[in-house]
Amino acid sequence: MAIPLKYNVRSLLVRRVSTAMTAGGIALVVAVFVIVMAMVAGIGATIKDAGAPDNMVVIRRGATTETYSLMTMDQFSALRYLPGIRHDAAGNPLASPELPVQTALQRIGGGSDYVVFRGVLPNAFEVHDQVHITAGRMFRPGLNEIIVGKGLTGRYVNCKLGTILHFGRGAWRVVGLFEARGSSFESEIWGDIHSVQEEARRGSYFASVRLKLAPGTNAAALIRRIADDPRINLQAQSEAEYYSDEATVANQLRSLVLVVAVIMGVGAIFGAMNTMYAAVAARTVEIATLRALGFAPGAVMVSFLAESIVLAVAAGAVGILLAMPMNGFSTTFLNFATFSTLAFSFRVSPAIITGAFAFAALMGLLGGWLPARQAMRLTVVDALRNV
Amino acid sequence: MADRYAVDLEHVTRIYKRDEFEIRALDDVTVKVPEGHFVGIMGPSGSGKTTMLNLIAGIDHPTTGRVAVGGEEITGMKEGQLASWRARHIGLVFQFYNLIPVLTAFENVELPLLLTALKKADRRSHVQAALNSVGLVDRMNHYPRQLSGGQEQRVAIARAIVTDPTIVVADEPTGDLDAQSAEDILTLLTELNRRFNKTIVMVTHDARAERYVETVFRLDKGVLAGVESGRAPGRAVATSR
Amino acid sequence: MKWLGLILKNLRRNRRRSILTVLSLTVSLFIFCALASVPVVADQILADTASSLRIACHNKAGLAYELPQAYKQTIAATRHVVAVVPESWFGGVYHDPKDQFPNLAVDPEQIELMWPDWGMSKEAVAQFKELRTACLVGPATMKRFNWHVGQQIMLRGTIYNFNLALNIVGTFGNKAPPSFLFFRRDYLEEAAGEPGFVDNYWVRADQSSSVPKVIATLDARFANSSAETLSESEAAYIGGFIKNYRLFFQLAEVLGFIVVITIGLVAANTAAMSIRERRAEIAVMRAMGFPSSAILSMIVAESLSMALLGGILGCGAAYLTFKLFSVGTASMGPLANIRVSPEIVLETMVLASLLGIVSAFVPAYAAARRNIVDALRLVA
Repeated sequence: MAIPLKYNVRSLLVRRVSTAMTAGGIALVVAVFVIVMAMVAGIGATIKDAGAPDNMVVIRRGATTETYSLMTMDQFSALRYLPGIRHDAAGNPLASPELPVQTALQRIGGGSDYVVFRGVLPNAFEVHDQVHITAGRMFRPGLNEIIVGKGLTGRYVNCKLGTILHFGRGAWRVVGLFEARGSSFESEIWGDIHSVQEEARRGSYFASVRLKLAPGTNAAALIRRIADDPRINLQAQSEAEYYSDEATVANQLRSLVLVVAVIMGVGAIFGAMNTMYAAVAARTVEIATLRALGFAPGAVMVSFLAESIVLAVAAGAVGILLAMPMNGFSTTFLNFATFSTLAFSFRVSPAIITGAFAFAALMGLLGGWLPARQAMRLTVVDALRNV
Repeated sequence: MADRYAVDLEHVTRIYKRDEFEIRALDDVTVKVPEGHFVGIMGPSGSGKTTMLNLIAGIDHPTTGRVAVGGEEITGMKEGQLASWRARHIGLVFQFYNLIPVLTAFENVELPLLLTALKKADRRSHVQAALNSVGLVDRMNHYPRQLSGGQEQRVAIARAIVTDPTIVVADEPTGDLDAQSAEDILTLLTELNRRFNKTIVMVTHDARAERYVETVFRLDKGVLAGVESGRAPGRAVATSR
Repeated sequence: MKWLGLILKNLRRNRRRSILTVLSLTVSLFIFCALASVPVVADQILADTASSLRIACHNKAGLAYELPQAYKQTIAATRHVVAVVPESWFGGVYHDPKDQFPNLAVDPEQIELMWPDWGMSKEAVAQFKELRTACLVGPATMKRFNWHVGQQIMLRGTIYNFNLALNIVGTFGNKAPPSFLFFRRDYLEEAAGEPGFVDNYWVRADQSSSVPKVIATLDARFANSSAETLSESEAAYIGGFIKNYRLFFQLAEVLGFIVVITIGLVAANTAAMSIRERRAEIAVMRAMGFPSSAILSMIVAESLSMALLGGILGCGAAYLTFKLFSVGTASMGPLANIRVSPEIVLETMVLASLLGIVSAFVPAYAAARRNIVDALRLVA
């Protein structure tokens, strides 16, 4: 009992200019949506991918991030032998003390950014198992040797294997390059923790401890133990939770993006409404004929709704295609939580594409609703009389 | 006379409201059309011909009175019911053909069949049969803009008969055509009436058309002014096109 | 005026279409106006600090590195320097770790010399010098936490493992960063166990021409020491922070550009539709002898009117939005001050007008030029 869809598709093609311009508007809104959501997804991913599912972050009580955290050797000593922490092959606990400090690096092309210089011990590689050295070798302790993350090469001066990098108070030799599966660690420089402590004049303090949990450990119990033990008295949480808090900037951005997308969508909806009203007005005789032939009023409404939705979805597809070149585009932003610069890549995920199509369809539905209703309400007699 | 009328209007009145004015388009009209007849409704402009046609076709409701078509009373039917009733029982032919411009001749004729439960293959054969009987099978993939006025009207007639409706209702079918095409259309309608025993109700003010119908209902200012029946039907069925 | 009447009449012809077009344009111009306002705030801040006589002197190595407090005397003794204020970051929070705002410890002796433009009252400054636990607060933070002068508050340490009780003795005026809190560095030092380090020295030069000289002198003085300094004018210092929002400014620009195209499409579509509808009229008018330009102007004028109306409504909406929005974003620091300025309104209105005219032009031109005979044929 339905009016065939080819009627709608061909009608859209007949009014080429109008259809094209309305589709253009919707395509642009969808393109913007995809691009900005891809940016947000990329930022979120780079932060969250730093977390491993079986890791914990331990920082000072009351601190929100490592950046504002401080702890002592004594606390670390008491902490590392707690049950539940995994051990390496040699039986040592996988507890990695870390000291990230912000340091200024020169950008190629001018200007400088604050980048994290993380002091670690060799066991950091076992705790952060997504980090791999891709060129050169690991730094040796006691010498001013560093390894540099993939996100820094090509962006900052002298971030190449074998070069000497001047920052902070000294000269540091780049002995290796590492990558970390696209996570925020790739935007860092790693060096021996004692060198960093000396460089930043922190004495024997450091900022955080990363723990790798043994399989089957009761995380909640360990967290309580770490908090309650008077020798320790620190705050622990899973890396997933820690980084998801840090990614709140991404979440806030996403909310802002959605608000902007909705507003732009409203504008596109008004445009679509205009076009559909014009289409209905131009086709009153056709509509009356279809009704006279016996198509139910509901069928007419569905038909025009379908026309609007088909137009919008097709435009949405174009919009997605327009946005696709941005997929994988790499750039940097300032992570306010740690006040350091992170490299990230725009990420167009299947979820975003699905969302974009749904958004387009929704615009088509809302834009076509009132005109379709009007088409349905046409009085056949009056319309035929207008011939 | 058949004991069942194809069209049965009893004391039908139709009043329109236009702003503050009331217009009596039809005033207490009673008309009975036997099955298988080819009748004409004639009268000057504003006499209520089109209104009467709309009531018969179920496109409009009378203000008072009864309308029954093919023995079925349609006076009280709701819009949704009427839509499916129209699909089954009425074939419509309009003055300006009213073909859907973006559909081919074939697709236009197929439209009423989409409201039935017929499968694609069956629909196809019905459409071809209908186009055949109006002599336009070879043009079935043409769009209306690629057809002449007369050809468009023939496609419209094919569309009107494709569901084998109870009656065919034609509103000024020759109004927009030249003399030759008009004659062809009227001849075609006559043939449909003869060959398939289709009841045809035609509104017209074309004097030529009078020659083709057996009964004429004359309307004047919404009132039935006269009925002339038993007229000689039009010329013999032409076999060539 | 007759002209205006004619335009209005034509717009009322299809009221719904005119309204929908205006609404669509309003939305797009609202977004454009809002986006264009974002970088203005940054420019405003930079402009304000451009003529500042203040210099920020911090450790060359980076943010996390400190300078010895002994440098204060050396800096104060430098030629062309009229005031020195050591400053250290405390980084405390009010109740929740999320209640962050910039709170810094400074030496009180010369604050009125360093920041005469920050609107601190004489009494407030006097009390700040008198009372060890005194603090001065910016208006945004005062409003955010509902504080009043005279109140005692507690700041919880984050990088420091102690909390500080402070007494609010006054507020900053408009030119100061709206969310700042200043308290006394000797109070911080005592609580921290007298480490004797400073994050940054604010230095005030005697006149503009002295600024580069002071910068050069200071950096040369401390070069080759264990704590080398990097001095920069206040404009450069603040500019460095603002550059971090780079990504958002670029995004706002790109979005703005896309919105402009969208506006053009909407206006053009409406113009095309109304022309199509009035084809017959236009042909008849031309046949009667009206010149093409008259018809063109009519159509373009209608488009322009709708664009102007959309611009006024869009700018109005943007203005209201930022008025309401600024209440909740004290945490964004200086960017909380985003406002719709008269310049931006002008820019938006000019854009709206241009687009209104240009977008209608193409279909209008085509309509006016079409062969009269062809056009008349469409009438019949």
